[in-house]
Amino acid sequence: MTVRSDDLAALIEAVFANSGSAESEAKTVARHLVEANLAGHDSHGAIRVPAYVDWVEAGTLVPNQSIRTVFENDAVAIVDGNFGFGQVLGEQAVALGVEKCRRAGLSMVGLRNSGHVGRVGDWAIQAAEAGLLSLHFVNTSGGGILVAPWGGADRRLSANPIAAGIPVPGRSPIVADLSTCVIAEGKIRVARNKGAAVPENAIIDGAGRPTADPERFYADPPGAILPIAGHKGYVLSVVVEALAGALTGGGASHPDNPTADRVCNGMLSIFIDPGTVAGLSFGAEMERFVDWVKAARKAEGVSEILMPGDPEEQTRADRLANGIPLDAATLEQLSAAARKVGLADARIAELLGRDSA
Amino acid sequence: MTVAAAPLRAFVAEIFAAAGCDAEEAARIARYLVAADLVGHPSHGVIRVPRYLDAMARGSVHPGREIEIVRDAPGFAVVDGKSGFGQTVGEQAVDLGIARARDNGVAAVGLRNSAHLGRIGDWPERAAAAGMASVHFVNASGISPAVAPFGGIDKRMSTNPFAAGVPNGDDPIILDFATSVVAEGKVLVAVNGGKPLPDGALIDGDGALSSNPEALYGPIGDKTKVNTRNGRGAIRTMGDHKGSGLSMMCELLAGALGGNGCASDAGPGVLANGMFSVYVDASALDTGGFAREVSDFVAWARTARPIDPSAPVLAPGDPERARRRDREANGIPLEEDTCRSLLAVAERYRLRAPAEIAARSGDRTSAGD
Repeated sequence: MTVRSDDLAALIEAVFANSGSAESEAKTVARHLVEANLAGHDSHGAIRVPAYVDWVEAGTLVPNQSIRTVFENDAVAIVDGNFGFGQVLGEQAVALGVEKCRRAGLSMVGLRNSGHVGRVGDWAIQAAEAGLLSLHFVNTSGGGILVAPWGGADRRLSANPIAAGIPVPGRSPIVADLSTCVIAEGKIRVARNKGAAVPENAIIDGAGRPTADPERFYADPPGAILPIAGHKGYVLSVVVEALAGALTGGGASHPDNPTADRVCNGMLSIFIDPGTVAGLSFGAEMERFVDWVKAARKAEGVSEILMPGDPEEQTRADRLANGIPLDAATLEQLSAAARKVGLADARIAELLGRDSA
Repeated sequence: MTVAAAPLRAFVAEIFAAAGCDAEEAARIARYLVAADLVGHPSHGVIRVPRYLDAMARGSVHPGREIEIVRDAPGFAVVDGKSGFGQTVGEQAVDLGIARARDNGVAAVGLRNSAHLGRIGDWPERAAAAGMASVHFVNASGISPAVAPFGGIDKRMSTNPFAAGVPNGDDPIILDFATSVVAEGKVLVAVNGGKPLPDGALIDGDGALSSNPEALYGPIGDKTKVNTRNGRGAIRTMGDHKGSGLSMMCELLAGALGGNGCASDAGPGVLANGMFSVYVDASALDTGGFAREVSDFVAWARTARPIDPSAPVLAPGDPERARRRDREANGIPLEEDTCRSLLAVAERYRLRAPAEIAARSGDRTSAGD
C-alpha cells in the first residue's frame, strides 16, 4: 500500500496535535518523520509514531519544549532540551549553530536531554541548505544500549550515528549518515517477525558467538549488535559517547543514568562556513573530485557510483512522485495510535486520502 | 633481539641533523618516528627514515619550514605546510588549533601541503595532552590513489585515515584508523608472503572481490617495485558504504575545504598530506562533569564479558599504551630489513649506529668503526 507523503504528514500532524503538541510542533515532527520515509529510511519514519505517542502519555517525552542555553560564547552553545521532541529541538539547535557559524567561521552546539532526534542526516541537510558544512555525533544516555564493544559479549553502546554534510553548488548536498553498528535493531525485529535470518557478522548471541538467528538476540542473556568494521566501529562509537554524551552533559550510555529509562539523545554538532575559504578552490576542487569519483568503473551489479546522500535523494524523488510504501502492520499501528489520541476512523481515512468505506 | 628506544631516538636524530635539519627538528622527527615503533605501528616508524632522506634529497620535503596562515577566521584557519616535515608543520598546525580552541572553546585548522604526517594518532594524542578533544580527517594528494569508492572498481581515494582523541587522564581515548579495509602497508606485507589479506579486502579489475595483491599492483615481478599505478583494481573501503562515506569526507574536508587538493591520477608523484582537524576545549565547556563521565563510561565498557577469556575488552588507545610500556622497558623489535637500511644510512653519513641495529642487520661492524 502506498500513501502520498502529504497525506501521511497530515495524519501524523493530526496525531501529535491531538496528543498535546502545538500546531507548529506537530507539523515539524510530521515533516521530519515523513522526510525519513521519503529518504527510504523507514525505520526513522512513520513507524515511530506509536512509540512517541506512548512516551508522551507516559511523560517521558514532553510536548512544546524549546532549547534552554546552559553555556554560551561566540562560537559555542550547550543547550538542554528538557526531553522535548528532538525534531523541534534539533531544528532550533542547528539554527543556533548556523547563526554562530556565520560570525566565527566555525561553531559548535551541544544538545542534551533531547527526545529522539530522528534521522541525523536531517541536521546535516538543514545546515547544508544554509550553505554550511557540518558534523554531527549522536548518542543515547542509556535507552537503547544494544551494541557490544569489540571483543565483548555484553551490550555497552547504542547505535551512535555520526553524520556529515557538505553543500555542493548545483547539486544536492553530500550527506554521509552512518550508525556505528552493523545493523539497526529494527531490522532484527523485522527478521524475527518473519522468522528469517539476519545477515552474517551482524549480531552475536549472549555468549558472544556469531549468530544469524534473531531469537538469540532477544534471549536471556541477550545478544548484541556488532560495531561496524570490527574495532574501528567500536572506537568510533566510544568517541561518539564522549562527544555527544559527556561533552554535552547529557551522559554517556549507562543503565544507571537518571535518564536511562527513556530515549534521550545527545547531539554534538560542528558547523563550518566555506565562506572562510573564499578565494581558494573549494567549490571547483569538490566538483572535479565528485565527477571523477562518479566516473569510476562500476562493480558487478552496480548501475551508478553514488555519492553519500544520493541514494536518499533518488528514493525521495521516487516516493514524492509515487507515494510512500507502508506495510499493513505499520499502517495499522499508526491508525491505532491515531485512535488512541481520539481520531475517528473516518477522519484517519480522510487524512490518508482514502474513502472511509 | 630488540633495540632500546633512547639510543634509537638519538641515532635517528643524528641522521636528520647530518642530512641538514637543525638539532631541534631532527630530534622531533626522531621522537615521532620512534614513538610509532613504540606503540606498535612500524609502518610509520623508523622504517621511513630512508624514504624521508630520499624526499629531502629530491627537494620534495624541506627542513625548517613554518606553517603560513592563508585564510583566517576566529574559529577556522587554513594553513600551508610548504612541504615541510609533517612532524614539524603538523605539530605547528595542531598547536595552533589547541591555542585557538582555548580562546573560542572550539576551533578548526585545515593543514595543506604537508609532507608525510606520520602516525595520525600522534595528533589527537597531543591535543588530548593539552586537554582538547579532537577529530582529524586526513587525505593525500600528488600520489596515485589506492582505494575504490563503494560500488566502484577504480582507485579514487587514498587510505585516508580518520583519527580522534578525548582527554581521559593518563588513558586518553585515542583512535586512528584507515578508512580502507586495510592500510596499503598490509598489502605490501602480503606481497612479501606475510599475513594474507582478509577476504574481500580488495576489488579486482573485473569488479570481483579479491584478497590477491595483484588486484592492486598488477602482475608482481620484482616485489620491491610494486606500484598501485599498475593494478586495475583497488583496496575496498571499511564497512562498505559507511567507510566510503568517511573517506569522501576526508577528501572533501582535507582536500577541498582545507585546500590540499583531493586525490587525482594526475599527481606529480610527490605526496602532500592534508589534515582537517577540529579541536574542542572540553574543560572550558564543562557543563556536566565531562572528565568523570568519560572515565566512568570507559570503565563500564571494559567490564563487558570478554568473548575470549584471555582477551579483556579494551578502550581505544589501550593496545598502543600497553605496547609502549613494554617496549620502553624491553626495547623495540625492529625488522632485520629495517636495521639493514638504517645501517646503510649510517654508513652514508659516517655515523655510529646503536650496536643492536648492527647486530640485527646481520653485520656486526657499524659504520663509524
